[in-house]
Amino acid sequence: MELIFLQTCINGLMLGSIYVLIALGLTLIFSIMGIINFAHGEIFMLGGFATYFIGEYYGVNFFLSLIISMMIVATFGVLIERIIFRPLREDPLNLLVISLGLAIVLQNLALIFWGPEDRSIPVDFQGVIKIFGMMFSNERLAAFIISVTLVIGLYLFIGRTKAGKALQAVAQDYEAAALQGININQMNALAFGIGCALASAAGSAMGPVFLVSPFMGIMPVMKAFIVIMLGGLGSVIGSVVGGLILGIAESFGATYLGSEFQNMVGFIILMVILIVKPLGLFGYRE
Amino acid sequence: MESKKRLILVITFLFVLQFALGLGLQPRAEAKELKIAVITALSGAGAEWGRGVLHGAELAAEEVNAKGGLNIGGEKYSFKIVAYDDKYTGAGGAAAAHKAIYEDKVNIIIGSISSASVLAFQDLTEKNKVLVLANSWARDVLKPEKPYSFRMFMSSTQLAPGIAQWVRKLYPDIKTAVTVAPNDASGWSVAEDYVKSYEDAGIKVISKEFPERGTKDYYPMLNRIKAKNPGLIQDGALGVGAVAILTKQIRELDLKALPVGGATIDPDLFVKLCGKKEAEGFIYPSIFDVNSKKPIVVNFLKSFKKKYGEKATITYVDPSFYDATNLLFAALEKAKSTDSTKVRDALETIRQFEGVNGKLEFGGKETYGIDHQLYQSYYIAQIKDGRETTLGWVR
Repeated sequence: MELIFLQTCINGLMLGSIYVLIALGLTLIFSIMGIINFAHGEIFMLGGFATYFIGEYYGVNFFLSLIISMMIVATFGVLIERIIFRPLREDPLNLLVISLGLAIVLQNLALIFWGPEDRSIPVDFQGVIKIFGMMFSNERLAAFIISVTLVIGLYLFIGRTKAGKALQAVAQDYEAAALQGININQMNALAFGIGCALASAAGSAMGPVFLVSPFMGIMPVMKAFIVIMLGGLGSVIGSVVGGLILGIAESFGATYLGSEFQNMVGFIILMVILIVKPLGLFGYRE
Repeated sequence: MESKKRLILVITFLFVLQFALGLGLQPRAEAKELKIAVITALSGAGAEWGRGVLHGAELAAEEVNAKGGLNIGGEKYSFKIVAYDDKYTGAGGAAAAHKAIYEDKVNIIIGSISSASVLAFQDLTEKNKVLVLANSWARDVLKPEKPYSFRMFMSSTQLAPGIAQWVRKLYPDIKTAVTVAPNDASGWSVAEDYVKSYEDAGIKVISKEFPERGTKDYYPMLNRIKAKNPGLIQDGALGVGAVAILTKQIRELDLKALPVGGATIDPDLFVKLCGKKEAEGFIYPSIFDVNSKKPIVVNFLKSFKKKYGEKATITYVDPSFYDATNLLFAALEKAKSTDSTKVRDALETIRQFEGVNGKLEFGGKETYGIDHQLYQSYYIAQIKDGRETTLGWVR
């Protein structure tokens, strides 16, 4: 019994770490630019596909493929921000519609060019580790380590670098930040690029575990929205805590209640928390 | 006299020329066009199979059109396939059928593979006497009250007994099973079929799991059922990607259960997604032998690759709907009419139709109350050393 409980906790933490990674990108974009990017799931999907193609067709090692795909998708993100989102920055409703449209376009383009079939990202560290009777696939462990590394990296970047502090300033008050000489356009592009890079990393990390397909972003982005609502819109620490709570809750729900409850549990927790704390666990009024 | 002879010669020559060149004194009649709707999942969760419906119908229609069309009651008809995306949903299916029937005026629909979609539009199609050649697995798709609906591929109701019997034969020590089927109309129906079949084979189903379609993380579910130590875990047609992931995760968590597939898969794709070691021993039913040397299969594959590319994936749906469309054409010819009631009646009388999937015939009255279920032989296969091995046939 204890073994099932422990395995459930660890499974939940590992799953939650991926939700954190997807949600962080989304929350970063929202906190800097005030945009809810509905195409975030498709950016996640593009990251997965980029890592797949680099590994499958060029024989590049998985971790290097992941880094390269982060750079490619970040660049793509910067271009999207410049061409599509920046002109509509003062019109949030149109931005919402545009991001929805972008999601549909990207998904269908992926379907047209790459087909609906699932693909497996090639890795050379397949296998299973057994620790105190609990089983972990190497792919899941790798996904967990990637997520933790990037979360720590983001934390250090935001807190210890000049660009990171500039991002914080823009998140707090973009007019005041502009008056201080911070280039808002550059910061928006940086935030969007980092957000896309994190989504790409999440897609790449999930690829060996759950396969890559044009539809792989639909469920994770829904989970990411639950996480950022749970943790508080715009709160980085909220995204981390929210992601872990969701992962663990889903794991326990599916293990102890049934598979049908896996997705339901997240929504139930969200409803309860929002009733008690309408702005989320770490949300705040501006 | 001389001029008369010359005139007779000229007329005779023209007469013979007319036949030689196929020209008539009347202008040649243009082939009429018959629109056939294909309602299928072209996007969303079911696109993996949905595209096969369109591919099969398109290929069959193109072949007939290339030969100059089909003779239906003395008139030549060419076929136009009009595709509608139901997104594998009920709402999508209802909207597609509405457009097909009321705007595009079709009276024949090929598809859908989604039970939710077909169940959503059947009231409309039955009311309007529109012939439906579907592939969805929910039992309620076929009923005596739905005389215009046919199922063109064997569902779990037909496949499950064969699988259960073969598992019993090969693994007599297996006493318990768990079914894993998607949480939708198809999945619930499939789970029921496997529960019945395994219990008839003396294997007790100790748990029925219904994860949402598209779920890829089976760890929580497997973690829970590991303690029950099931002898086998039966896939309820989750899709090749999902069942590959499920099988891989069964091995990762060191469950001793035998993974059993519920639908035809592409074995090479399955092994690639699951891993060669993890795929070892996986058992599944199969209706389409891609390595068959039969001319009808070879020609189908050649046409398919020519149209869709060498690397295009063939699922079991592509040849099934190629056969389904050709069956429809045979029924149209036999009916000598495009009237859906006459075509339906003709379809019911077709016996032992030779298709890519072998000999096909309708039956199912004892199960559904109506003989609108297509039957064929199928084989049970197992993955051994990364390749498909045929264990035996179910006829």
